[in-house]
Amino acid sequence: MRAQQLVIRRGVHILAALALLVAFAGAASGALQQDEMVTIHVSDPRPLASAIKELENRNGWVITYEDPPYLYTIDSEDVTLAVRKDFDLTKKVLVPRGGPFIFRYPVHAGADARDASALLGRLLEEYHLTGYPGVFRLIRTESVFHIVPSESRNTLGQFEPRVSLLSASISIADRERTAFDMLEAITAAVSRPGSATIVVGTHPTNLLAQVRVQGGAKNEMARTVLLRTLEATHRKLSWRLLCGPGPTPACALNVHFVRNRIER
Amino acid sequence: MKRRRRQALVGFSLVVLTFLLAPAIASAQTQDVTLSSNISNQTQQPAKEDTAEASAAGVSSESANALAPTTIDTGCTWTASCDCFYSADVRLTIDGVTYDPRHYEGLQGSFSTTLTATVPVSAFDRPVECVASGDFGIDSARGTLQGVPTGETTSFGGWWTSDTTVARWNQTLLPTSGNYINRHAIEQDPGGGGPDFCHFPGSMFDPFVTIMGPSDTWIVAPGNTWGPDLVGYTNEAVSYYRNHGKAPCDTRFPQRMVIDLGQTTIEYVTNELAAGITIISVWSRRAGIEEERVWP
Repeated sequence: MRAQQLVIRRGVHILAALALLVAFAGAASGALQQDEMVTIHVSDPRPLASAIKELENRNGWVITYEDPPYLYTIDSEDVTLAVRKDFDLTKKVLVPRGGPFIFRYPVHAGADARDASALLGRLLEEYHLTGYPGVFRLIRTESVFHIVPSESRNTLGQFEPRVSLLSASISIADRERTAFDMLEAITAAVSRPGSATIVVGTHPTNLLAQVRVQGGAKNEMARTVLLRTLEATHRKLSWRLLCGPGPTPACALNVHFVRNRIER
Repeated sequence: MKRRRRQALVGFSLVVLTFLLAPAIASAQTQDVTLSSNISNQTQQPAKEDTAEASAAGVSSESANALAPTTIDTGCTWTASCDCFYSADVRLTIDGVTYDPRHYEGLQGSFSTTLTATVPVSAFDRPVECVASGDFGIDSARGTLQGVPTGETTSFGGWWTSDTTVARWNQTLLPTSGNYINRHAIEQDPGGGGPDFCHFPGSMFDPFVTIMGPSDTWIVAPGNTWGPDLVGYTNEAVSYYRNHGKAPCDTRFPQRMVIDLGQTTIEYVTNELAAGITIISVWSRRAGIEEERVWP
């Protein structure tokens, strides 16, 4: 498969981000402005993932997302009190430290694939200005866009290069199985003891249980095998690989359906 | 007098019925008349006050939906062309009842007319016939207006071996005297699902608030059965939410079931699906019937 890579320049300028937020604070979420701008306004522990989901919904593009490692304490937030019903405060619940994020773009942007690449590049540039966790880059595989981590802070707060978990080379026995079983095989193959553990997250169970796929993988990139598996369903499916904070994170590969472009 | 039949294509699955005919030519030896018929269906929703709740208990539940369409609009579109003067009688007959018969006199060149009938939805297949007769002779096309289930029963089919916190639900379309074999039972998301009370902002699992698939499909098997419909949190999600102190928690969302009617579909029931996690068990519910197991 042909892959194009766009390296996005990293820049963490919190002041600039605040200025941006103030400038657009009055804009309504997802509202079409009179000057023909679309405003996406999200507030989420993973603001970039949330904005991408909004772009998927609006434009019908398949844009996958992968979390970076959250190692630096400031990149995560303790939500134990808000989450735990058992009030067992000895077991911390940590989530990525996100917040509000606003992205505006011309309504005509993304009319074709080249526009979409440029738009996603701009999205990443603006996200990087916010100072929220992670530095990402855009990869494209045919009509599918992938937002993957390229850098994140280590435990000392210094940026370190990161490689997408799904860029790992994997091998899976060649046989017929359901698409769900193939997803389980992929996540198991990508999981590394002492590193990240990946499981299948929320997904269209009936669809993946009914579709049968033949084959396996031999030293193939996990992302390629995953794309091939989802393509076998003949549905427009995307994913979000979401991870918890920590040095040996647990991650869930969530698969969802992407609807076609909203007609305006 | 030369009578020539040029072509007859009959597609009669009733949803869209099409046939092209070059029937008998009565008035001119070298002039062909071409007829085509197209039958299409539209469904009509009942008034809201017709709402009734489906309920069931025990090992099997029966669900029906008073909001499902109660009538089907069906019709034939006839077109003909001839470089001559001709007359025609056209009619649509459904289950022996003739609807909207018409007579045309002095036609020349092309003509097209549509006959329609609004008929009640029936659980059973009904024969449909479109007939044209005139100077050109008689031709007809036959099809079947397929039956629509009145509902379905749901029964627990065990826990899914690939993910043992997910329940398998098996269905039988009603009435059992109907014939829906080889047709497609399709689930759709009517919206309005959730919230997922297990989910929290920042969770690594996306919220489980819809059927997730755009239109998952099952082929109806002998005995009017279809399934399994898989409902439940995955075992990884169960462990995750328990470890994060969220149990007990649950989610619920609607599932609209439709069946194919040739090239279109018609709703026959809308169910509620639900799933939950307790500290020691998991449960799954479909159309009012629930199964729980201690897990792991």
